[in-house]
Amino acid sequence: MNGGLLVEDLTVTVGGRRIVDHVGLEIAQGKAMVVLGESGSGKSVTARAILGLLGRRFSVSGHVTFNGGPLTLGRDVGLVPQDHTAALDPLRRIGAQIGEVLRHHGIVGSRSQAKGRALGLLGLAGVRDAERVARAYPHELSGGLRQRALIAVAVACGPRLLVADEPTSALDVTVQAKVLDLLRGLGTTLLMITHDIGVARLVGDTVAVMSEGRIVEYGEARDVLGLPGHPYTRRLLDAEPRPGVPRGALAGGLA
Amino acid sequence: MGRFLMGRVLLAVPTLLGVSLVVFVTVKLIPGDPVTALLGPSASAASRAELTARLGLDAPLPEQYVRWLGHALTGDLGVSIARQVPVVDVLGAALGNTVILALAAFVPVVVGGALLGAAGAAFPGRWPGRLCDGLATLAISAPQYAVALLLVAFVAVGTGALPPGGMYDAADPGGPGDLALHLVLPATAAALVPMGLTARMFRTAMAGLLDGEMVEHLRARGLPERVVLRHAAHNAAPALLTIGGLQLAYLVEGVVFVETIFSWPGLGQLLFTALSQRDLPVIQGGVLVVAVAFVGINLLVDAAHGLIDPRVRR
Repeated sequence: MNGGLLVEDLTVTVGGRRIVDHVGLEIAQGKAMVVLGESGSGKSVTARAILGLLGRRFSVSGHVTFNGGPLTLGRDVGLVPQDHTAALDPLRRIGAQIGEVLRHHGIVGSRSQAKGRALGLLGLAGVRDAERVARAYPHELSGGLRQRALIAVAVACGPRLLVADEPTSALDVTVQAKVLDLLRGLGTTLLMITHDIGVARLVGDTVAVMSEGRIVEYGEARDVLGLPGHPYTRRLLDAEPRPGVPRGALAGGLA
Repeated sequence: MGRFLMGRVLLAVPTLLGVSLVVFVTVKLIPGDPVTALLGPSASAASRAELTARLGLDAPLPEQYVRWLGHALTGDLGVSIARQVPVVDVLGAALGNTVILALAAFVPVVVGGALLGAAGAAFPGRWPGRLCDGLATLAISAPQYAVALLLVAFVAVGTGALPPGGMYDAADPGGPGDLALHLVLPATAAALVPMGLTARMFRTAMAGLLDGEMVEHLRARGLPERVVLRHAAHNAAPALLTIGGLQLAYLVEGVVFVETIFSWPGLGQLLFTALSQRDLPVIQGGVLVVAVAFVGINLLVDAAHGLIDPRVRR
């Protein structure tokens, strides 16, 4: 395969413990893959290892290529983080943070160009009053607007790959669906990390289920979520809240 | 920003009033009687009563406080009992000398502390980081009086390169150059402990940031490492400001040991002498000046904090 993201034999150890174990992933260009797993399954570490963001205490081996070449952070790939409060610099205006990325990657030459471009990107991220948001400091915005601002930062340089780590788990339910629609509609290849089966159904073309650092099941979303083969996936699906189960009772499996 | 600053200044007023009350009461609680100290134990009852009335010590305490505060507000802190000169003159000279010493020590405290702390946070577990952590710990563990004495013994007396005390050469007082020469050793002795503390606290602030999600996300944006560090330093600046303000206040408060060992005619030395002489007006005025300096420094720190951090100035 020469299009899309290819991850081969990715292994991460920290303090003698292997937390990601020979993981391989493949996402065709323009498709969305969801990595599904409970907390501690190694899914977030996998995403960080793919981006090369893990600190020195982690040792990482394996290969990551995008369209056959290496990934350049910010340019080829953008990260949409989970915690929109922590990821933005609280002391810089939103517009300045978008502009900074544009200038450092040589997309624009001047500050005034960067400003215009930033407004366009905020619009692309579904922000209606981009002027006001660009002038605002992060603490002056709602969680949904902060996440949209981070999406504008992530897509600033026109990356062909987006990595989204639980992008909606810190948002109101009403905003979650809109942000997922937005991410899907940007037309990039998408790698999304989540523990939420509903999100996986909504977004994923393919789904990889992770447990204890390994990928235990991998395939088309319809197949994995419709007819789970691995017992872990089945337990995960059974633990999903659903209508019709009496209050106080468990649907089964994972208590 | 204007309203934020205004609010801070207004808040300082009740603080200062409280401070003045505490200063007044505390000084009244110091054992010893200024009248006896002045006239000696064998004075007649008549002359004692006369002096007590003249010093205003026969009035009820609240009245004494109000009178003292009213005078203080107009810049009149009374007359030194021991020296018979206005307290303001004595204090002014001493405060000026202490501020010179404090500022000379403050520069290495902030610059050295920030550099040591930042290096410790940026290279944890590697030799540059360990070296800087070690230097900071060493600086904190060096008692001022010991460092001061060692500097006098080995640098001043041993090599003769730097003067062992005073502000100016006694035989041939010079200008700023002479003053600078006399500042080196006392400023070094005064700076070490606060510099080490600044380094340790700034290191903690920087390390938390470098390990945090903001820095991770800045790296994910593909920004060069020096830009990432600039963001981190900007975010750690309020911490440095708060620590620096505390250390400056500590230095202005009068580094008594340093001033005494280097015969520096500053506030610490003055207050020490005034205490042993029961010179109440000087003690009251001195403590008041120190307290006001504390409030003033805090006000400056708050203002600068508001300039840096938009979340504070709302």
